[in-house]
Amino acid sequence: MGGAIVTEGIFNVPGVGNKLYQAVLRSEGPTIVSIVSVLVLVFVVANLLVDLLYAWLDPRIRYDQ
Amino acid sequence: MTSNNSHFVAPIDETPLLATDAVKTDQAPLSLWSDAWRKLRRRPLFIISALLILALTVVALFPGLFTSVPPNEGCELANSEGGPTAGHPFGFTFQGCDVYSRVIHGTQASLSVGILSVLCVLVIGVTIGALAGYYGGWLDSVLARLGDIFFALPLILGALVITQLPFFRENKSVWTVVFVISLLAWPQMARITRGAVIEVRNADFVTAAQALGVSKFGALVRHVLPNALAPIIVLATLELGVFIVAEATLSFLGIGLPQSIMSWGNDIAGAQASIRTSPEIMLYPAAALSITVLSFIMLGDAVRDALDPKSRQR
Repeated sequence: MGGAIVTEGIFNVPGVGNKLYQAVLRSEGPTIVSIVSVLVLVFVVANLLVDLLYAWLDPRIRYDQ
Repeated sequence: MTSNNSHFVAPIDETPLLATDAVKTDQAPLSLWSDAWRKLRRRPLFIISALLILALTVVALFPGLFTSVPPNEGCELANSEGGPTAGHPFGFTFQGCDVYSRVIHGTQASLSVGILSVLCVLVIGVTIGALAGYYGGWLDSVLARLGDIFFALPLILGALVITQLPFFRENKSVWTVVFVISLLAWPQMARITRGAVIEVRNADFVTAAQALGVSKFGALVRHVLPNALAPIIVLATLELGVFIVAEATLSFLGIGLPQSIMSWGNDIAGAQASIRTSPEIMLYPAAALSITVLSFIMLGDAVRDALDPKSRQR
C-alpha cells in the first residue's frame, strides 16, 4: 500500500496513490485522511479474506474454539 | 552377544571409572548462542552483510573521514546537474551541491532513525508482548486488541495521517519520525514476543525456578525472556531495514525528516526534479539505501538460520 504512493507519484500513474501523493505534497489534510481511510478499509478486508482463505484451504485451521 | 546384553549400565569392574567420569569440566558449556555464533562465522552471507554494516556504521559516525566537502556549503548553481569532476566523483545535484558528500552525510540520519526506531519498538513491543503472553487472561485480551488496532494500519499510510497533525507538521525532526514509526510498528514485535514467551513460560525450568522461590515477575525477567530472545533478535534485525525504507519513503514524500537534515530520502526527493535529464543523481542515494537495507535483511536471514536449531543439520 505504501509502495503504491511512491510508484504512482514517480511514474505519474493516474491512480488513487497518485492522488494521495499530490495531496501530501500540498498537505491537504482532509483529502489524505479520506483516501487513507479507503485504503485501510481495503487492507483490512484483504487481511480478513486471507485469514478466511487459510481456513478454507487448510481444514486443520479452525477459528472457533 | 554375552550376558552383558541385559545390563543397561556397563558393570563397574569391566569399565574403568576414569573413562566414564571423563567430563571436561573446564570447557565452556555449549549454549544456543555459542552454537549459533560458530555457525554464523562460517556463513559468507553473514560475513558480507556484517562487513557492510560495519563500514556503514563507520561512515555514519565519522562522515568527515570520507569526504572533505561540507554537504550544504559551496553549492554553486553554475554546477547544477554537472557531471563528475576532480574531487566530486558523483557529480552535482540540481542545486549544484556535491552528490558524493550528500550521500556520505545522509548515512547518519538514515541509520540513526532506523536504530532508534528499532530500540523504541523493542522496548514497547517486548514489554507489552511479554506481559501479555506471560500473565495471559484479561491483560492478554486488552493488549492484543490494542495491538490489533495499530496492526490494521499499514506503516506508511498511518504515518501519512499522523504527520498531518499540526504538532508533527511544525516540529519535524529525527524524533518525530522515530515516534511515528515506533507507534505504528510495535504490534508485530509484541506479537512475536508474546508467542515466544507463551512457548517458554510452561517449561520445566520456569516451574523449577518458581518452586525455588523466584517471584513470578522475576522468573519472567530472569528465565523466560532470555530463552525467548531468538525470534525477537531476528525480527529486530529485519525491521531495521524496513524502518530505514519507511524513513526514506516519508522523507521522499516531504513529511519525514526536514530538508535541513541530510538523508537519502530527502536526496531522492530532490533528485526527482532532474530524473529525465540526469537520472544518475537519484541513482547514488537510492543505491546507498538499497545496499544498506539489503545488508540488514541478509544479516537477519543469516541470524535466523543460525538460531533455528531445526535448520542446523548441514
